[in-house]
Amino acid sequence: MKFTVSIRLTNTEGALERLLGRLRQRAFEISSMSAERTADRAYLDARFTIEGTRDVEPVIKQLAKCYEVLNLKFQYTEGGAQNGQWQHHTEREVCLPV
Amino acid sequence: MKGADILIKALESEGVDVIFGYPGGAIMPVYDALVGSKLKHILVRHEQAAALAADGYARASGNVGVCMATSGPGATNLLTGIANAQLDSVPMVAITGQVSTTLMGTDAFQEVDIFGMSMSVVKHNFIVRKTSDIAKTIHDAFELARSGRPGPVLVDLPKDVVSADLEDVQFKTSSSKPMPRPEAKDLHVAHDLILNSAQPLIYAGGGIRIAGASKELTAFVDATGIPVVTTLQGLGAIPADHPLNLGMLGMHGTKAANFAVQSCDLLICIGARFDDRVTGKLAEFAPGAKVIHMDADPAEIGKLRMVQCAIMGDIKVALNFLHVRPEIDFWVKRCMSNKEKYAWDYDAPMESVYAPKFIKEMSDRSPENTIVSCDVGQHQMWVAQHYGFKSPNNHLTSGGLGTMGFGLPAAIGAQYASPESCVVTVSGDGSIMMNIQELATLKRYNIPVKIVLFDNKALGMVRQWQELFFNENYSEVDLSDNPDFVKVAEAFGIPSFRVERADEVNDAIDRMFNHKGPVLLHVLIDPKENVWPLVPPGKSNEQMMEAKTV
Ligand SMILES: Cc1ncc(C[n+]2csc(CCOP(=O)(O)OP(=O)(O)O)c2C)c(N)n1
Ligand SMILES: [Mg+2]
Repeated sequence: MKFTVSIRLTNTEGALERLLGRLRQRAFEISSMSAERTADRAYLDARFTIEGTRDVEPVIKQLAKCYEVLNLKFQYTEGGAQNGQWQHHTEREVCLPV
Repeated sequence: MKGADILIKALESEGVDVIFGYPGGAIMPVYDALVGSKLKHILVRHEQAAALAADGYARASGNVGVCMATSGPGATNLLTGIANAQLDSVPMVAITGQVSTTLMGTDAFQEVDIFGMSMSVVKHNFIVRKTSDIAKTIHDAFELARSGRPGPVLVDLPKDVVSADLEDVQFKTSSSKPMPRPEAKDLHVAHDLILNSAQPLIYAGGGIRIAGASKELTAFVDATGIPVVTTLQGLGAIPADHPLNLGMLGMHGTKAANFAVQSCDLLICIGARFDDRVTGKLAEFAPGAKVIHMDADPAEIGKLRMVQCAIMGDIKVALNFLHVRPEIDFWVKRCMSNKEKYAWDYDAPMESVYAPKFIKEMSDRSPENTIVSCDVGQHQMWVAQHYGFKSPNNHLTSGGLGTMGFGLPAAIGAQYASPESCVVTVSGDGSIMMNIQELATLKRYNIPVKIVLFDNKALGMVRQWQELFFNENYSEVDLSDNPDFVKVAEAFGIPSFRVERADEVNDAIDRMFNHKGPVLLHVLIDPKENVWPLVPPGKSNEQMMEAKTV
């Protein structure tokens, strides 16, 4: 399974590292990544292309659960039912502080 | 105002009354500011115990537990306790000292990157690099720790940040957002699933305690007439003696509970997470069941089991809404007859102490509202099986991480959360040694925790597995050279006595409960006793092993 995740996250200490850790723990391999800070320095826009053998949805939920993640969308590029279509992940853990 | 004073003030505005901790170099400015504050600080004797005591405090009270340690070894010693809170969703704020920001990254004395190290075992963590961020970060940490699915939050505070001065600090008062209501459409789907089921079963977990929804669960059970099984963390979510309670499911669950799960056609999972100790072989767990899953954490839905209906948000609202009565008399009768047929048998014609019977007696003889914490091993499972819990806040057990050494510090924390309650910890001869130094804490503060120490001269649970699954090839499980635990307790100034025979048990239990201060009861049990029934690893829940009949 190959998929791409595009994430906007707050530009706070450790935010990227937290995402990478969650991918590593579940044995997903990153084949490419990029991240760019927004002009106002408040956010990072990150994009990962990922390969793995495990189900994708649980790890997407784990990424979305990170407090720093503001929004997330993903698309399967190989092996998914809806290849090439962006799917927005909107659910966040209930009542997180802002 | 110094950064350290801001921290203390911020903790006070969060309503913190007690902190479990241990001082050291990097956190010294904070300990300096602690003198004269309203916060009570309990000096434990190992930082792991600080985190586990904060955990016990949180489980017993429902409030956020707070622990504190210095940088480096102090911080790393906290980690096991933090992971313990993470795996059982316990609200906690852990405060660590750190070397000054200018020294961070230079391998300074007592520098470890605790922020990086703890990242995978916390709900969230922060490094505070500016004094002006302290108040807000502490506020956010508390809100995060207790919101939604609770968990531990670590705040790392460099020494220069807590030493600097700042004028005009704004403090927010403690706040948290209410749980949103579940979506009506999901509730209606659940309603119809329940109404149309013939063999429904409730599978209740630790989420009930977290949501404070025991009353609502019991009312839901009474209204629907649906039988209940609970997880280890769910024990007491519905009273143990409720007629429809079939007991704990899973590896050491009751036969009635496991048979019900395997034959139900609708599984109503409430605040539980399909843990491998519960499901056995996942693919064969509740094979014929549709699933309704209620949880505060979206990441739990569909993680291990496909569900037909997911309900997010306030469990209480959901449970109150779902008062429907399906026609299930035949199913309930079958469950009840299993419950009767497989009820525990406490007849043990032996002179030595039979641990399950001991726990049962302790349960019957305990004062109202007794809180029981346990360590990890066979004794923990006997407590789960044989103690009749009436409230989930009264059973403190390390389920997710299985942390030997949890029991005594957790009992200390629970006693501070509930000073009027009787607090007992049930430990093993292996586990007690993991945090035995906390006997000194009991003595110093005269904390009236009762310790029941089951001594089977072994790492019993591991020995049991070696017996059953490793051809009796016993490897490093013998503890026959244990110290004299009565003398150990006495050396710490804790009264202690020993029980060796079955006919001494009842008097000993009464004596322990009647004793005013801390006390250690050293109970010798048969080293060969095992925990039954048992679902072997990798097997499905109907394949339960039982005691070999002698
Ligand atoms: C910190 C830690 N180390 C190792 C284990 C593995 N383990 C689980 S149960 C157990 C034996 C516990 O012995 P004891 O406390 O005497 O309890 P018993 O099973 O004999 O009742 C061990 C070593 C663990 N759970 N936690
Ligand atoms: Mg033992």
